[in-house]
Amino acid sequence: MGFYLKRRLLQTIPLLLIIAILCFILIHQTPGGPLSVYTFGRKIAPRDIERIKDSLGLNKPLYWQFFYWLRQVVFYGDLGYSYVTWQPVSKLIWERLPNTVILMFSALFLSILFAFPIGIFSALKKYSLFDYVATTFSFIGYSIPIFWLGLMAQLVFSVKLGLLPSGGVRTPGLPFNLLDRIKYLVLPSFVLALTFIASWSRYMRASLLGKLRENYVITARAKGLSEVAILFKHVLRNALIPVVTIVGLQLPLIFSGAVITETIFAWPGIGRLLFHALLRRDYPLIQGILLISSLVVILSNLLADIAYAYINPRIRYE
Amino acid sequence: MNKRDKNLTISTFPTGIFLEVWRRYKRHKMALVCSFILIFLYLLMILAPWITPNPNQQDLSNRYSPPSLKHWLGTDELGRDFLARLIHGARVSLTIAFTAVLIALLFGILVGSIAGYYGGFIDNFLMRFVDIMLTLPELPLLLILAVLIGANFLTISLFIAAFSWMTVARLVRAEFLGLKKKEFIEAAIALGASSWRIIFRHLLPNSLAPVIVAATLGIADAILIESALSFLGFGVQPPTPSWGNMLTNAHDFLWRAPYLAIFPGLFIALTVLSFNYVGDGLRDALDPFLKE
Amino acid sequence: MQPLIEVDNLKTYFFLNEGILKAVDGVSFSLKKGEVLGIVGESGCGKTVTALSILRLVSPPGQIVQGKVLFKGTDLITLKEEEMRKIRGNRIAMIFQDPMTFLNPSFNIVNQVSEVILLHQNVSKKEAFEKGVNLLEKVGIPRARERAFNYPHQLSGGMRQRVMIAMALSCQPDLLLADEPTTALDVTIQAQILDLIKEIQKETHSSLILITHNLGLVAGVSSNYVMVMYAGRTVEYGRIEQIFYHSAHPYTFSLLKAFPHLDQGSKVKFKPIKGLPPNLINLPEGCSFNPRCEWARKKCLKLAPKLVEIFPEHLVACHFPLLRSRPSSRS
Ligand SMILES: Nc1ncnc2c1ncn2[C@@H]1O[C@H](COP(=O)(O)OP(=O)(O)OP(=O)(O)O)[C@@H](O)[C@H]1O
Ligand SMILES: [Mg+2]
Repeated sequence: MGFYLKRRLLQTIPLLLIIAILCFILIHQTPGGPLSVYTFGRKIAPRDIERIKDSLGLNKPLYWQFFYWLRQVVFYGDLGYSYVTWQPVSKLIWERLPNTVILMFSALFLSILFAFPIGIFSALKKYSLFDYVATTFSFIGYSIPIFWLGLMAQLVFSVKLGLLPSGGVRTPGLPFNLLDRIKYLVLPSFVLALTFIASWSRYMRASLLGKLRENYVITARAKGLSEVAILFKHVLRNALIPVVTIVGLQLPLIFSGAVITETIFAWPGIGRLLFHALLRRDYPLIQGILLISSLVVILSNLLADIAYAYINPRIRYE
Repeated sequence: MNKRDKNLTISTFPTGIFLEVWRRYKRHKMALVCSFILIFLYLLMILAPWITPNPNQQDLSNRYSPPSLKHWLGTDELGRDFLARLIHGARVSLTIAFTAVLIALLFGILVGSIAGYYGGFIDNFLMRFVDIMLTLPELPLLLILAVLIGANFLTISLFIAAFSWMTVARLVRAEFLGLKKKEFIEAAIALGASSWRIIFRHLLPNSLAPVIVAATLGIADAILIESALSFLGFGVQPPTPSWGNMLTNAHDFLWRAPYLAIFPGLFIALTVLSFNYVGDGLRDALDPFLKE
Repeated sequence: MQPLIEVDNLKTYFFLNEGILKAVDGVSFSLKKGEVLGIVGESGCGKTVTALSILRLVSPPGQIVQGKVLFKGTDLITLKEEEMRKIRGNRIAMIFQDPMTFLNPSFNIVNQVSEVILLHQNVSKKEAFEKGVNLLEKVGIPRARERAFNYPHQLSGGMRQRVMIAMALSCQPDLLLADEPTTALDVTIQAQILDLIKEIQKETHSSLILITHNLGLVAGVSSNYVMVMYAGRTVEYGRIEQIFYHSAHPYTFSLLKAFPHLDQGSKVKFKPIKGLPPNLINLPEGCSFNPRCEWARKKCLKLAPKLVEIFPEHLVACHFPLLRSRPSSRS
């Protein structure tokens, strides 16, 4: 397993490098380049521009600038300053990151909580009414645009029924209160989870059906095990292996979905921050968010890899 | 094409194939219904200029009017006929989706063919690249690209394609790797056919089945992603209607005219659903030509 | 002595879209304690389904439609599922053909062995583990205590089959069903595994049903009886000498002819005989062997023969058994 993880870790290095280069290019591609932090909306004498350029090293070769920038990012967490609020980008991101992580993880949790049992039950009762309904539901769930689902959820649960708040993370002015937080979390996380419930339940069903046909199931029966024991001990574990792979591969999709969900539900996370930064062309902030969100995605992929290795002995014992 | 060559191709591509596929496809009832829905939608789209009023005709004295005989689905915040905008939106959204999938297909087939045909280092390198592309957070990058480079019909299609060619590349590569071991390919190689000839005459036609399915499902995904981009305001720009940007201001009219928020989404969902079912039906129909 | 197991007119059909596939269509035999029965026949003639039916492990679309399986006097076919589970792996155990796919890739080997012990015996986890390791040792896995934690993919084919055998032995069953236990293995390993099975069968005095393509194996484990199957039916049943030296059914006769070097035992695989095995959904009318039978006559095309006892303990299903020719195996 150590070897496997080491390899996976090594594989993320080129990925990180590519993302870093992308981010670097991003700031150099912006109108006015990195200098625009200083020139944005102000008039500065050409002499001063030269001075700033010199002090920022902008007269040095591009690769030098890249490594300097990388050093600043890696060792000092320095992502520059927002054009709009003049606050450090790292601070803006750190403030929002926990909210995004909370939203993503509760959506992940809900997806697994619903998708796996639905998939398992569909597989066990293949071609039953339940299976048929679940299949149709999953086709529909997979086809509904997430932003529209969010709007409809607001329309029904907030506008019409007045049951749940339509946006935000908590009731303003109230001290921390778990129940209150959960109330605000329900709609966005369910909306974000629906697509994944729809697709993962399919994967679970297909995988389980495949494993139920495996020969070791016959062996388990021949041992005298009950069907329930066979399902939970022998089959499920093997069925989970490919599903976990897919869940890992789709983590970037959860992040993409979070951008939309956060925007609709006024959820103050990275996605919403990105949305506003894009509206205002706040390039340093955009760059910082791209970097951090890539890190989040890579990290979660790594977590999925570990989970995968953990349940798959073929990898654990390389 | 010499005679021997012809035989090789035909032997793997029987003529009755379309009938057989159609016979199997008909059995998938949902797919059949959904094909008709899509055909109907296409007719609407083609006939749009003749059957609908001008989608950009504003009538500020008649804003948010409820559905009526004159405006079947009512009017929007600027008094424009909503149904007309929906149908014209379909033209925009579907054309972008098709273009994106076409570009993704071409690129995916190119990368997949090269990787699968040559194998070795090239294959390794390209597949690493595919892996990396699959790990990137798609929507944020699309948004950033749209802001940096600008969003118009062509760039949006290109951006979407840039993040959706990987599935096709993987499929084509896998097919090629499998097919390369088959006798008729070995025979073609032994007969001294050139690489490109083998790829175009033998390998590609035989890997069509999974690609067709992937492309159909790809259209569904492209519609979704385009609508999300436009919804957030970074895709198709108003006043040109697209299904996504018709919902951009939905928050404002969720109270006043909820149906304005309901219909575009229903159109997207129904269309995407139809493509998904058609893809599923094709998968079943092409089953004999698909491998695990 | 009362037989340990008595199978009577067993029928297992698969209800497929294309029609009813009669995988086992009236098989009968009986076996006493400590005896060995070899079941031979071409691929697809219903050997595996017979074994699975005894354990009632045929799953839909397959179904046991008729017959009795009397095990120590109780009919397994009508037994409650819970009762049946107490017999599986405990009193009747099965060794499968392909040890790779029949072992669970996600569990270490000792776990898979001790699982059976935990299930059927009243022991603690620790005891079960110890017993598991001992069994692994007994079936000849070197350094069993260390290898116990290995996963199937870390073992060679022969070692995996030894794990299967350890699993089957763990509760000292009265009856061992071995379904082509050596087919998936290298020739050199085949003999070792066969010796192991034989040795264990002798030692525990259990009964053994050995299913195989290979007539050599039937002799190799010194079977007492041989049952020859064709298209889901028993075509000949008898003591091993009767089958080998006085085969009465034309099918058995050609099987033996197609298998020239009996004394070289397991090293030689039998050559298939002329023609194809029949489609079990669409059996030919009359005797199902008639299209391939040299001696077929009019009656054979119309009427399916019944299994009749032509000598004591020697049963044949043929209208015209080869009584006079009395072929030897070297003919
Ligand atoms: N699950 C199943 N579904 C449908 N048909 C089956 C199934 N299992 C077995 N059969 C059919 O039953 C018949 C007998 O199969 P069986 O596996 O018993 O043959 P066998 O004698 O063991 O052959 P082999 O030597 O190849 O193992 C075959 O024709 C097979 O196609
Ligand atoms: Mg068999």
